[in-house]
Amino acid sequence: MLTLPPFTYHAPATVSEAVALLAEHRGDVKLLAGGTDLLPNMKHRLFTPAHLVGLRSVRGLAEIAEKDGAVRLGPMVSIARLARDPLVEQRLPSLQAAAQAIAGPQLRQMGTLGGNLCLDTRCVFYNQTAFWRLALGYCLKKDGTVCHVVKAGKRCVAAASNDTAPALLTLGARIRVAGPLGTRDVALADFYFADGVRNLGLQEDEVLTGIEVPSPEAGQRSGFQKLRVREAVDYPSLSVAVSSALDAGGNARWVRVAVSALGARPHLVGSLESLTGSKLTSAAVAEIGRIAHRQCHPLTNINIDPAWRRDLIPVLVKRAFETCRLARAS
Amino acid sequence: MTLIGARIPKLDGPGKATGETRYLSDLEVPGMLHGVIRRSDRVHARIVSVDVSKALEVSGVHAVLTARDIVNVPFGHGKDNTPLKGDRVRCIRDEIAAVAAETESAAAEACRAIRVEYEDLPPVFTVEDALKPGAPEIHAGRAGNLPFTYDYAHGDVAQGEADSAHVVEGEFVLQFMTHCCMGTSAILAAFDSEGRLTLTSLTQVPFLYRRDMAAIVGMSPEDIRVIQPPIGGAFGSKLDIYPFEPIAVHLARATRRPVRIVFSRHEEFVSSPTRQPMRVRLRSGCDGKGRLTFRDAQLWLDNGGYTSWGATTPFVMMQTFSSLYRVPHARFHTKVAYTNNPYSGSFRGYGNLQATFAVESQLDLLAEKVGVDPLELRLMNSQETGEKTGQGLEFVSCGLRDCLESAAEMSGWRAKRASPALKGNVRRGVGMASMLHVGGGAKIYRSDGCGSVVSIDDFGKVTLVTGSTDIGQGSETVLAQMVAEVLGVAMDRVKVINSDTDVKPWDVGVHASRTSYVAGNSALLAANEAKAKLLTAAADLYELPKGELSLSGGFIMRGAEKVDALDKLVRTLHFTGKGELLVTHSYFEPASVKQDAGFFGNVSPTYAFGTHAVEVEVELDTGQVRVLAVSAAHDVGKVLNAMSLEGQIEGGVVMGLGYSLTEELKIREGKVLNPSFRDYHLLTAPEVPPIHFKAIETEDPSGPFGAKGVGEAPAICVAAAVANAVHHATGVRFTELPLTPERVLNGLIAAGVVRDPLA
Ligand SMILES: Cc1cc2nc3c(=O)[nH]c(=O)nc-3n(C[C@H](O)[C@H](O)[C@H](O)COP(=O)(O)OP(=O)(O)OC[C@H]3O[C@@H](n4cnc5c(N)ncnc54)[C@H](O)[C@@H]3O)c2cc1C
Ligand code: SF4
Repeated sequence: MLTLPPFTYHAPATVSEAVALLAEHRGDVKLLAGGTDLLPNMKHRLFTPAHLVGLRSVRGLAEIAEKDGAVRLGPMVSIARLARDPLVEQRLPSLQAAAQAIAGPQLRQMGTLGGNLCLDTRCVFYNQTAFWRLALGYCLKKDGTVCHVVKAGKRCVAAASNDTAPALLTLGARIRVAGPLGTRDVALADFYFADGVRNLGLQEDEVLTGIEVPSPEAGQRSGFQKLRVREAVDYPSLSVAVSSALDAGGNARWVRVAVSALGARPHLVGSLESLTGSKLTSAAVAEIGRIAHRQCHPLTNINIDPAWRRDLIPVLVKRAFETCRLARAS
Repeated sequence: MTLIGARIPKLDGPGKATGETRYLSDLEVPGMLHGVIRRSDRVHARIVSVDVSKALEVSGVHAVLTARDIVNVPFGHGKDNTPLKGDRVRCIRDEIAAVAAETESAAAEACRAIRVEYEDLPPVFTVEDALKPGAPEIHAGRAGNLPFTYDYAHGDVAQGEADSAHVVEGEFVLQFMTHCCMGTSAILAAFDSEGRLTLTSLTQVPFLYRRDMAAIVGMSPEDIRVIQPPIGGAFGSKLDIYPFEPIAVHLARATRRPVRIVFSRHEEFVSSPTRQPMRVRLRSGCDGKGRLTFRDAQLWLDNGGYTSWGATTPFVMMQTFSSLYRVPHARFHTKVAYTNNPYSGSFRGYGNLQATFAVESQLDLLAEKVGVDPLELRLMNSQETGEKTGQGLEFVSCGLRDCLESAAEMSGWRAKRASPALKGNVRRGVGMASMLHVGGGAKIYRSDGCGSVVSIDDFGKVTLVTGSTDIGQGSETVLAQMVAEVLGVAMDRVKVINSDTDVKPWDVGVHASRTSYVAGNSALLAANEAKAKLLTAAADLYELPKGELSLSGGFIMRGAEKVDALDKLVRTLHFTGKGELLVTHSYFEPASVKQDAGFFGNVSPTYAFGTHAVEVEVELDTGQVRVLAVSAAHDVGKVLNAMSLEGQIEGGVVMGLGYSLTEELKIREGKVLNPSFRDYHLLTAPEVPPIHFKAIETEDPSGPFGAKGVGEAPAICVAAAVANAVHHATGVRFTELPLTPERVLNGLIAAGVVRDPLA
C-alpha cells in the first residue's frame, strides 16, 4: 500500500488565519482542498510537507452566485456541484461540460474548483512512486537535473491537466488571491506560466479565494470537448474549450479558443482576431482548428502519442463549436 | 435433473459482496512479522555490493536477508531463477534483499536503507536483439539467449502451398498485458515447533507447489501444508512459484516467526507475470473455393529475464495453428528468447489469444481473396463431431458449426455484413472469430487427475472434499450442485472443502479449463458411490428391491413414497450392529494422453469451441473504436449453472476487449511506465457493450452431465473478431494490439481512408 508521509493538519476558520498558517510554515506547508490531487502526490513522495492547511473549515468559500455583472464561484465549490448547478448550467455551459467530464463520480464529489485550477502539472515520469522515480533517475521537476521527455531540455514540459482552466480562460475569468499583504485580482490568462515545475502565479503563502466570470453577453455561447482513454475516469489527453459572442446578424463579435493537456500551460489560442465580424462557418471553424494546431507542440509527457493528440486539435475544435450552447438569461 | 443448468448464485457470493470474506491481506496471526522485498532498480547489472547495515538499525527489524544468507536453490520452469539474486540482476523486479519487521512501514524503511552498488551490463530489450550473434548473454551458459524452441508439423506444407489458390502472409505483434487481480500477490509462512511449515498461499496448484517449494527451501514435501484462503483472482498468475514465496519461508525460518508478504499495487504491476508479448509471422492458404490448405507459423516470444510456465504457451498455441478448422498441412516454429524485460507467465488462454488473433485475422483475408462471406469460409472448414485433427486431437463432441451459426444469428450477421454503414464520419462493421481450446484439462504431467471424498454425516449434511481449487471461477458451487443432484439433497445440504492439502486429496491444480470437467467427474464418481451405498443399505434394511429406490428431497424414495429420511438412514448405519460410515472416495483420470516428442496426441479428453461476432463503430476523425455488441456462442457441452456460466463469459469477453482496445503494460527499456490502475487502462463500465450469449450444448459423452470446460474460452477470440469488424467497417487491417485510437487513426491515414487532417 502507498502510505502518506506524516504531517500536522490545521483547520483555520478564516482566510486570514489560513494565510497566517501558510506564512508561519513557509517552505514546509501545502493547502489542502479536496485532496484528490495533493494526497496521491504525497503518497508518491512528490510533496512531503510537515503541515497541511485545510480549507474545508474556512467559511464563505463555496458560493455560486451572479451579481454585479459577474458569476462568482468560490474555490471550495465541488466539481460535482459545478457539474449540476443550475446557474452554471444556464450561464456557463462550457464550464459545466468541463466539470462533468472530470475524473469519476467520487473524485468529482471530493475535488474542488480551486484545487482544479491549482492542479499540479502531470508527466509520465513524475506521477510515479518514489522507488520508480529513483529507478529511472529523478528529473528536473523534482530532485533531478534532466528531463526524460526532452533529453537535452532545460525546461520541464509536464502537462497542465485541469479541465476547468481552458473553459474558464475562454470565458474571460479572473481570480482573486489573498496573501499576507492583502488581496489581488489576476486575469486567469496571466495566472499560468509555461513552466512545468510550477505553472501557477501563486506564492506559497497565498490562497485562491474566488473566481469571477463576466456575465455572458447577449449571443454568447460556449462549448467544451475532451479526449480521454476511458469515459469513466481518465485525465484529459487533450481538452479544448471555445466561446464566442454573435451579434444579431450572426457575425462573431469575438472568438476565444483554449487548448489544454498538451503543454505546461493551458493555451489560449492567439491570432483569432481576423474572425471578428465574420460568420463561424465550417470553413472558418476549420481555419480556427488549423491555427490552434500550429500553435501547439505536445511532447511525450503522457503515455499517449503526442502526434495524435496534436492531430486531434482541429477535430475537437470543430466538435466544440458544434456542441456549443447559448448562455441563457438568468 | 433439477439443479443442473439452473441459475444458482455462487456459494462464495454473499461473503464477497458483504465484505465478510477475509482475504490473505486481512489475515494476521499472533507474532506475525511483515516481509518487504528490496528490488532491483536496474534492468541488467552486476551486483557489486549489498550493504544492509543501515537496515538492521531500523527499529522493529528482525531479519534482513540477502543471497549470502540463504541456500539459493535455482527454480522455475527453466531452473534459471533464484529467490534472491546474489551476483546479477536481469530485470527491474529482481529481488536483492528481504526484510522482516514488526510493521510493514518499518520493513519498507529498512528496505530503503539497504545500499546496493551495481555495475551496469549491456541490456537487451527486444527478441530480435537478443537473438543477434554476439548479443549480451543474459544467463551465463545459455548461449544465444534461447532457452526454448518448439517445432511441430503435420502433413507437408510444401504440398499445401502447391494446393493453394490463395496465400496470405503477415506479421502480428502482441503486447504485454497483466492480470490485474483485485487481490495482490501474498503469502503467509509459519513454522510450528516441530519444524513443519504451513503456507497460506494463493497458489493455483497446491500439490505441485508443495513439492516444488520443498526443493527450493530444503524441506521434505510432507512437512509442508498449504492452506488456500479465498483468492482475489488468479487467471493463471498463480501457476508458478515466484521468488517472494520462498523468500517468505526464509524470513520465517530466520526469525522463527510467522511472516506475511503482501504486494503493493505498484509491486503487483511491476513484479507479477505478464501475458507473453510476441511477434507471429503466419502464412495461410486455401484452394479456390476457400478450403484451407496449410498454415505455416513462426513465432518469437519475449521470455523476459527468467523462465516461468509462460514459456510453455507454444504448446497451446500450436493447437490453434494445427487444429482450429481443418488444416491438412501445418508447421509451427517458435523461439522463446531471454530479454531484460519483465518476465511473462501464464495467463487465461495461455497463448491462445495471440495465436487466435493471427489465425482468425488471416481467415478473413482468405475469405476476401476467395470472395466469400467470412462466415461461409469458416463453416466450410469447420470440423464435426468425431473428427481427429492432424495433431491427433479427437473431437468427441464438437459444436463449432453451431457456434458459428448462432453467433452470426445473434449479431444479425447476414444483414449487417451485406451493408456495413460506410458513410459519414462513423463507420460500422461486424467481424467474427472462433476459438479452440482444451475443455477437460491437458495432460502435461503423468496424471491429470483429481481426487474426491464424499461423506454424509448423521444429520444428513453432505461434505465434498475435493482436491481442486476455487480461484473465484465458481467451481465450489458447481461441484456442490453436482453432488446435491446425485444425492437428491438441496444445495444448502452440501459443504465443499477445498482449501487444505492436509485434508484434501491430490489434484493437479486449477488451469487448462479443467476443474468442472476433471474435478466434476471425480466428485460424481464419489457421489454416485455414496448413492449406491445408501440405496443398498435402505434396500437391506427395509427389504425392498434396490432397483426401485431413488434419492430425492433428502429422502430415500420408492416411486412417490418416502422410505426413510437420509439423515435417519445414516444414523441407523452408524448405530446398528457393526456400524458403518457413509464415506466414499474417488480418483478420476481423464482419458487423455501425454503428447509425444513431436507434440502429437490427444492431450485433452474433450475440447471447447466458441465463436464471437462483434459489432464496432469506428470514428474516422479520431480513430476511436467503440464496440457496440458482442455475440458469443460457446460449446460448453452442457450448462451446469447458467448464472455462473454467464459470469464467466462476460468476464472473459471484457478481458478480451481490454486486450483488444486499451490494455497494455507499457515497457520502456525494461521499465514499466504505467504501474497503476490510473495509467494501465482496464476497461470501465461505459466501454462494456451488451454481451449476448448462447450456450451450445453438445453433451460431451465423457463430461460430467455432458459438460466441458469454459474457463479460458471467452477471452480467446475477442481480439480477432474486433480486428475483423474494424476491417469490415473501414477496409483497413490492423495486426497490432491494442487498437488504441492513435494506432487506428494512423492506420486509416496510412491506408488513405482518411486524409491527414492537416495535409
Ligand atoms: C484518477 C484521477 C482522475 C482525475 N481526472 C481528472 C480530470 O479528468 N480532469 C481534471 O481536471 N482533473 C482530474 N483529476 C484531478 C483532481 O481530482 C481534480 O482536478 C480536482 O478538482 C482537484 O481538486 P482538489 O480539491 O481535490 O485539489 P487538492 O488536491 O486539494 O489540491 C490540489 C492543489 O491545489 C492547491 N490548492 C487547492 N485549493 C487551493 C486554493 N484555494 N488556493 C490555492 N491553492 C489551492 C493545493 O495546495 C494543491 O497543490 C483527477 C484525479 C484523479 C486522482
Ligand atoms: S517533463 Fe521532464 S522535467 Fe517535467 S516532469 Fe516530465 S520528465 Fe520531469
